[in-house]
Amino acid sequence: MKKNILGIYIDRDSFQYAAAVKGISGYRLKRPGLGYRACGTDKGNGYALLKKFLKEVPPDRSRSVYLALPRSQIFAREIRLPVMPLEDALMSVQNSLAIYAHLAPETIYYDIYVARHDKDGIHMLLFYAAKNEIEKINKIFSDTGHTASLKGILPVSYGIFALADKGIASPYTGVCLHQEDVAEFFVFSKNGLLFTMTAPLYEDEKALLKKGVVKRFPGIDKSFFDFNAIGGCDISRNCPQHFKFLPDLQENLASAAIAPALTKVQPVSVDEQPVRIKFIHPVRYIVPFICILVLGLYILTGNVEKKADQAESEFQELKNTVTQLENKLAPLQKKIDTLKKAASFKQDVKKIVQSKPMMYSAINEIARLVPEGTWFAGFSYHDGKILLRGRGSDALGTVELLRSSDMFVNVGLKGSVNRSSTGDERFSISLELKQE
Amino acid sequence: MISKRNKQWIAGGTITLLLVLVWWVNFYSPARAGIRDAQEKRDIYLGKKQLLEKKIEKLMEKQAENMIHEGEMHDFADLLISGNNIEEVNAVVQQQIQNFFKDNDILLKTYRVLNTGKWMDYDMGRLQFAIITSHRGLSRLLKYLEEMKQLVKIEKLNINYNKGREHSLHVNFSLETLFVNE
Repeated sequence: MKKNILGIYIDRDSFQYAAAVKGISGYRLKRPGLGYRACGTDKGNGYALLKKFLKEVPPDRSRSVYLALPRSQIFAREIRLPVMPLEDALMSVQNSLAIYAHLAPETIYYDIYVARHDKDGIHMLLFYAAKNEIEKINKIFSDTGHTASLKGILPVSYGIFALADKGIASPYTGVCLHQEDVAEFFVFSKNGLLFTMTAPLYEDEKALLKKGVVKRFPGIDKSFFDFNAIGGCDISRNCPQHFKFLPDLQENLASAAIAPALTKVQPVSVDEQPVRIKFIHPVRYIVPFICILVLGLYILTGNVEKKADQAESEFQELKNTVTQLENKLAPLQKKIDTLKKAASFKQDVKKIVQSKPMMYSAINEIARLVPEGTWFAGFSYHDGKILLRGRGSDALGTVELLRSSDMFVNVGLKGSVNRSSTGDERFSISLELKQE
Repeated sequence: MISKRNKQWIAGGTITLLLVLVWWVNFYSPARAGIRDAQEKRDIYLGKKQLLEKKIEKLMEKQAENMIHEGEMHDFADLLISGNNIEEVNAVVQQQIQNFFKDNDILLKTYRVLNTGKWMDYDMGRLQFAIITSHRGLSRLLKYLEEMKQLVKIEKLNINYNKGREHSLHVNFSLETLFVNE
């Protein structure tokens, strides 16, 4: 949306202007220069007054100027084409300009407005103007240093349609607008501007044209505005809220020049610029979409790879910890085994110490116990058992004495006792060392 | 007939679809699989870690239970005859006993190394000696063997008395020595 707009309407007998700027709360009227109100009208030759106005208003590159002209300057042709791509339709119209326009193609500036493009076909309006007439206007702008600001030259009826586009609920809205010495009948609906035609200002001619319009657009007579009748047009009153700042259309047609710039209707301007139809070029959407998609996928891949690295690093960290624990476990297990072995060995050592035969003590004990005169010629020990071969006066007594010792168990005579001629007894005694 | 614009839309859609498909197959899917794989492995190792920690904790408790003081280990070492194998142990014992014989006027007649014996799960080095000695010599020998700190014990002992001689005792005895490998 433009920030600084100047709308101008000129015809043979009048000059009308309105200037607006965009503020925080939306558009508002603002004086275009010193000595001028925000909007105004003047009677007289429109071209001369335009030149005077532009001379006095300092050029401003940020300003967008829209110039509305009467239908006596801009011609319109209604074109209907069958279903086809819009580019093809445009090319078809451009190639047939000589047929559609009553002036030679090289002598006109034109623009094409697409009213409808659906399964029923294409409905377009060709607006064109004589090149020399537009060049006159361009020269005024050029002479006054406002060339860069001139953004559009449009028929005033198109501006009125843009202003009223969303404000009127009827299926068709018809308007009769007197401009110079013609009366323009134009019809629009929610689809767009559908029809425009001029008739001389004679009542019967106007009535005839209106009759044709009513016949073509059934029910339009209920929503038909005679713009020039007093109180006959309430377009300004019914226009959307964001246009309320503009001066009333019946007082100042410059509002119609500004309106298209503030709406989303197709811009129309009869100048040297190419046709302003908005084509949807898939490539213009597909390429950025693919670029964004690639970028998105790249970022997503980066995130996923980051997560994968993080998961892998967590796993490696855990693996290292487990390896460390395993390394710690093996020596610990070995130590425990050694300790267990040592504990078992401790017990075994006790047993082996206990099983160690105390031969010195045992022999001393035997020597202490046996009676005087008893002596042993043989002594054998094996596996805890002792066998004594001896001679003495009393074998049984010896046995009894040995039995009295705490060191021995199972003490007894072994085999027979032989008595010699001297009275001594030869005997064998078996005994066992007592286990502790 | 498909218009040029529709062809472009179809081409754009196809390129987009292919792009997403290639990305999915070559980058996203393997990366997701990698994450899942790493997470599964991490979970397994997490379980392993917890198990190992518990095991180590239990072993530490066991270690505390089975702890043997260093002094006790030294005592065990003192009880054993040093040697890397049973032959070395036998040689050490034999040398000690022969030294004792020399010092105590005991006449060694024969000695030999017997086959290795067993006591519980331990190997026992076995040595057999035949000596001639007096009562005093025998007494000293038996006392020496009884008081010997190391795990050397008398396996067999035969004493025969020959009357009227200075060294009147013929003694055959065999000794067993505990051998521990570690």
